[in-house]
Amino acid sequence: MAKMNVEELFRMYYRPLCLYASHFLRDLDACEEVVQAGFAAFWEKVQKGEDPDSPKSYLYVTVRNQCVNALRRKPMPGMDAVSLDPDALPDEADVDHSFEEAGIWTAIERLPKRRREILLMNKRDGIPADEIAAHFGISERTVRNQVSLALKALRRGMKRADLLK
Amino acid sequence: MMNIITMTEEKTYDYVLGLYEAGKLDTAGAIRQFRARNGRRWALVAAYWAAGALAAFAAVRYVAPRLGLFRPEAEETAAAPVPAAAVDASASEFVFTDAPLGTVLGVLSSYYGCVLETADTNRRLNGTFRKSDDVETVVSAIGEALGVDIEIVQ
Repeated sequence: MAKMNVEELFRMYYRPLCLYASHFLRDLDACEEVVQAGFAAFWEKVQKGEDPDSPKSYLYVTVRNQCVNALRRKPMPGMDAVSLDPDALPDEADVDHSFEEAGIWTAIERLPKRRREILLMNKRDGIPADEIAAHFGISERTVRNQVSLALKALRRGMKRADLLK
Repeated sequence: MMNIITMTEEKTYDYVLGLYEAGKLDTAGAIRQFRARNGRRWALVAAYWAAGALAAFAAVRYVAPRLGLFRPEAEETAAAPVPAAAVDASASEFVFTDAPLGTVLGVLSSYYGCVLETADTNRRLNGTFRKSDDVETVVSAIGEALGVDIEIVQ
């Protein structure tokens, strides 16, 4: 296992872990910090010659613990649905779900620039299609087309993520 | 945690879209950051891997030829220690006594100045060959005696 490249682990698990953490912490910068810390802890173990047999579950457990600790220090409003049991293990379904979310994130990132812009304006920022159409000087129909094409790509991204779990 | 398992697909898109910010969750950037922070240890491990790679290279380059796994090159094979009892190349003849074929080919290739290849260097050979014979004659005689193919590579 120690032979396994840390870079490879980053490529496989970095985004899913960040999105997993986002359900606890919301703030993406905080999530990225926590995941970095998780990788550092994992690395430390490998350096000491310990051999976590599943890097994936080690990373998820570590990230979850860090999130729970952070929330205990500084509770966040609206997070009462989250289980903060320090001894609980990451829920399998939540772990799987984070891969789907990462697949969607990657799909958004890979959209053509204009299509991504339209999607984010419409679905993230809640700007109505007619306003977007006016902004770009294109028809409303084109805006709707672009959004629907983008959502199809997101769906494919999510399905592809299933293969990586 | 939250019952996100019951989230519909639609909600999942909305969730990720709501979080999405260009440039965030940049995996390559995260790797660079990880390296910067864990740099020294990273370098040590890189050195460790490099040493491993070097050892593997050495194994292929220097050990495998003796086992017949890698093309023996004339000067190298000739430089390999030759058991005194097995080979006598001092006079006008080569005398091989129970000599491994790899050793025999090493001696011949350094004498004739060519590279000799065969699949099975562990076969053993007994025989006497005149140095005045050309390499083709000697090699074909050995090949016939042992029933192996020996290729002469210039």
